[in-house]
Amino acid sequence: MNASLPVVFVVDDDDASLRATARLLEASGLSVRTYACAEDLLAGLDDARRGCIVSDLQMPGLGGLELQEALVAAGCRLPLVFLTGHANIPSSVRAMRGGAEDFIEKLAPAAELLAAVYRALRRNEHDLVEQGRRTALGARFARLTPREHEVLLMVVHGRLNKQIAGDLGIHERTVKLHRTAITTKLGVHSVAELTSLCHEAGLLEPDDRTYPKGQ
Amino acid sequence: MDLLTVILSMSASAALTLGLVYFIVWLRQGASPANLWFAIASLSGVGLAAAEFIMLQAPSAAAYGDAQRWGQLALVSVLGSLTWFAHFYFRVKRGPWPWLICGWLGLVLAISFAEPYGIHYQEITALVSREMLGQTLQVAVGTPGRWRRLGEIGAAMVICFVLYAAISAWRRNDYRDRSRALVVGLALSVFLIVLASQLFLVNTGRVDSAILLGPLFMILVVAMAYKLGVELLLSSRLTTELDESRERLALAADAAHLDFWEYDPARDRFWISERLLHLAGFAPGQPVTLAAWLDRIHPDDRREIAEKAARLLKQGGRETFEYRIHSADEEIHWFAGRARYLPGRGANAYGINLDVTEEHQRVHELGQLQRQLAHASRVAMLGQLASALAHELNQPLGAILRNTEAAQLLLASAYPDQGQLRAILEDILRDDRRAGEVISRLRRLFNQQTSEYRPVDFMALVDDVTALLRSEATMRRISLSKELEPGAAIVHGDPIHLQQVLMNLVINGMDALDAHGANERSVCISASRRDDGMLAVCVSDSGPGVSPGLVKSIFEPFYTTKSTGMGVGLSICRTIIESHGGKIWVDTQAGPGSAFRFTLPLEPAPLPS
Repeated sequence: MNASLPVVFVVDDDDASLRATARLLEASGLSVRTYACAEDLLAGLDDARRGCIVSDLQMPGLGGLELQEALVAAGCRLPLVFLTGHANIPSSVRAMRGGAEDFIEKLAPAAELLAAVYRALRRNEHDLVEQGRRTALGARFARLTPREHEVLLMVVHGRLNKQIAGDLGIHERTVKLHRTAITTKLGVHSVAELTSLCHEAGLLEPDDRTYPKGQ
Repeated sequence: MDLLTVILSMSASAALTLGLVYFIVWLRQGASPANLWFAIASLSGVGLAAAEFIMLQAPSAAAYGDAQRWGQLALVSVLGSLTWFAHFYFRVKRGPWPWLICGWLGLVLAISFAEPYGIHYQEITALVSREMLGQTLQVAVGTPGRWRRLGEIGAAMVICFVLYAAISAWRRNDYRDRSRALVVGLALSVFLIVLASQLFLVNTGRVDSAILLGPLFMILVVAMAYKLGVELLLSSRLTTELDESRERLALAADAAHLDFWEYDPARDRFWISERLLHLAGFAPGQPVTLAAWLDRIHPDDRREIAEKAARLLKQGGRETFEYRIHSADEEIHWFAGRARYLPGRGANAYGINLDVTEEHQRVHELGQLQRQLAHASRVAMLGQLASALAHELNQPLGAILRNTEAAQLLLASAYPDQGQLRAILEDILRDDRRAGEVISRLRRLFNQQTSEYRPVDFMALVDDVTALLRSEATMRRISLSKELEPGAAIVHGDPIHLQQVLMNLVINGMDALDAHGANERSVCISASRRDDGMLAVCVSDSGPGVSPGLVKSIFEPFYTTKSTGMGVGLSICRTIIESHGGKIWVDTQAGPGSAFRFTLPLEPAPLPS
């Protein structure tokens, strides 16, 4: 995990606005990088993971909403704060649906902008922690054998040992051995703990993924 | 008093009176020499009567001869001047005959003065007393003169010429010529024939009587007096008709707002018809000189009119004028006029003036309406751009806000960075100016309702328009570009109106892109100088283009293909461009999209210093 400070990436086609926004953020103690257009930002982002993006919504060339799409496509998960000179409802709805953190008018007071930026940074922080946890969990689950994994899913779905043995066509004793291996490998002591862990690892989510991908 | 004295003195005085009348007419009118010749003939007739009076009472043969010689002079003078009179009066074509006749008569006169007893007698042997008209008269008796045939031939020549002249006048088939030929020709012929035959008969001794030629002159006097009377009547009728026709003309002129004037260059005096005189603030009867008239002309027109007037008076010919007059009621009147002058002694210059004030007012009002319409459409257009313009304004305002807030934060720290603060203040100033410019650009576009022509750099105008429309283009996801030839392009025009045309065309292009969801979204303004002194401007877009069927109607007022809008935009563009001396059209050949082109006359380039 990157241990560097979070960076606020600011993009605005209007030079004066760009400089002013950057100044304010810097004066508030944030580390800032500025870009004159969305294309520059996409090229200069590398794989930065700590921070957030503050972008003008209306820009010639690649506009704010197109930038949002391009970021999603590139797998970048930095939160986006949009700035607009003049907000209209359809574009704000579109931006929020696309997962924008916030939508700030250019004439809004600094407090509002800063609040939005801090919120975005906090979310980024939270996302990173979450991501770390998931990665660790994934590593623990990865130690299970495929059979153990099968048994685990059945256990958390509330199947009894006898039922599991019947379903898999194995001896009930073997099921017990698998369960012991599972609790040992995952370091849990009860079925309730196991269920909660699986939930955390996303194994119980409604989607049909049955096996967490290593991250 | 005896009858002879009465007759002779009566005819002499009648001839004298009439002769004087004709002489005065000739002197005053100077038109036709016929009047002078008749006056001479009349006065010679008086001389003839006087000579005869002396002759008939001559105490001796020698005295008779002397008197007869002077009578001969008077007679030749009568005949000669009547020849010339007939020549001019009957308007005979130029020819040798009058000269020939006068030469002949001169010869006869010379002989009669050379001979001791004149031309009629070789010698007068005695004077015989005769009782005639109640008086004793002396009649000469003697041998007939050798040369008297010459005199008779001369008289015959005059008769022939007069007859010829009268007949040729009659043949001209003109009412006036015929009446002259009939009355005067007849009287002249009768007079001459009677005169000649009396001479012939008495001189050859066929009739034994004294010669009395003076009273014969009464025939001519009567005829000419009749003619004079008729002409007097005619002229008084003409005067009445002239008055009537003047009245009619004045009425028609008044209805048509026409005024007449006449100018006498010799006296420097105008005669001006009443309406115009009154309008210019002159009292009736007040003498108007050229300088006084020029003084009433609007100062802006005065110099040109003064130059034209001077040229006309110097060279003659025709001239047309157009000028304004400050009327007495402080209103401006427009006049269009024509003048004519043929230089010559006593010639006047003439002219008519047409009051075209109403036409000018209509043109003025039309221009005002057009400007108001242009203004209304401009305001409507700016209304459509409201959100983009707000964005354009929010940009610098937002920057100012952020900068100020940043400065506040910096100042709150223990050691504020002076350089940073200075940079912030500079940016604030610049953004403030930028916002001010946006506002003043808008205010100009919103406010101006009058038209103000001045030299404008069209290229700078394009920059202004693209600055105003940049946000709109960005919001609509359209790339707005310009391709301008480097350097300034000065046109004489109203910058606001020209901006309006550009904005209208660019917005039309954008609308076309939106309406048809084109993939490539661009609008381009290009401008370049042409060789013929025109600036060529093109606003093109990458939309679907204008179908060739619409090329004509697209500039008509109230024609629109859009769901919103009145359809006056392009018609206003055309009005504006045409009033700047340019042309506007749609080029359907230029490319896939539409291309609106217009031209504007360039001001002559300043000489490179």
